[in-house]
Amino acid sequence: MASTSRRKPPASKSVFINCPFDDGFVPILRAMVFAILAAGYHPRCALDSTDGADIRVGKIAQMIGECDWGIHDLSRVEVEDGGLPRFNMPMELGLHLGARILGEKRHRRKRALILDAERHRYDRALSDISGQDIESHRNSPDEAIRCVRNWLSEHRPRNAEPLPGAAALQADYRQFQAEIGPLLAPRRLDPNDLTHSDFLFAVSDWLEARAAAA
Amino acid sequence: MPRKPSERRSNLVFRGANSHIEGMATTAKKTTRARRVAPAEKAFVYRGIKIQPVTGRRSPLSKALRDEIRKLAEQKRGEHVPA
Repeated sequence: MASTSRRKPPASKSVFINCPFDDGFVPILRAMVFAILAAGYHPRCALDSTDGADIRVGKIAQMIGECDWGIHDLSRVEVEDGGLPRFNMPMELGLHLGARILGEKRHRRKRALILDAERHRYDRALSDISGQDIESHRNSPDEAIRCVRNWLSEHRPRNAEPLPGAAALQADYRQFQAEIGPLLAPRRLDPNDLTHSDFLFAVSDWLEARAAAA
Repeated sequence: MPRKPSERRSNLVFRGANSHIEGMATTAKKTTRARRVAPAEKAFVYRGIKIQPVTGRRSPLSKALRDEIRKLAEQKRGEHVPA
């Protein structure tokens, strides 16, 4: 039996990811998760506990409270068939900013990266967030890795080891994808079929194997 | 009050390192023993960054993938991997 430690990572190393979980967004989410793990942080998101099922706002708020870092992707906040956008992502961003502004002292070190598909789209829809770290991934996994890596690097403690460059992480992610696919093929599985938990372990195991080979 | 010699002997026999495990229900006993036997996953350094292992319970697929990823890495290093 493998180690079953359930101890939560410290808040200073935990990154909350607030994003859509639909199939179309999986490539961006997975790229961000890879970048976070390879930078020595722990990704946390609603999939941690439910793997896709609905999660209550209380649990989301608790998770935000347990993470000093938060990535909020607003790229899919668009008007849908019913004439209304999905408000979940902006609401969770509001929880994060609210905790930082109104919460206990420990929440004041919270950092938020706000991602969108286009630069300055938020100006029209959510201008109150001006002044935050806002980046555009242009719906590209490589760009998502660059945004996450640069943001984590910018806010690292001065005495911390410098993070690998964005190009190195992008190349590593491509190699991970190239190697994990053939391992899953005999099981008739696609890397996108992996559950969130299995993906986390696969990335961690791959990084560990690479570290041992270096 | 001093104990009888027979009582002292029984203490020596039953108060070993695993005595508290013996008192558990079977499921808890198995879980506790398995956790003790499992090798602890350790932090490692990747590109100069210390990475803590992912926590949580692994699925059977995840365990199989871990073994295959390690095997692949050893093959790349040119080490002999028994079939």
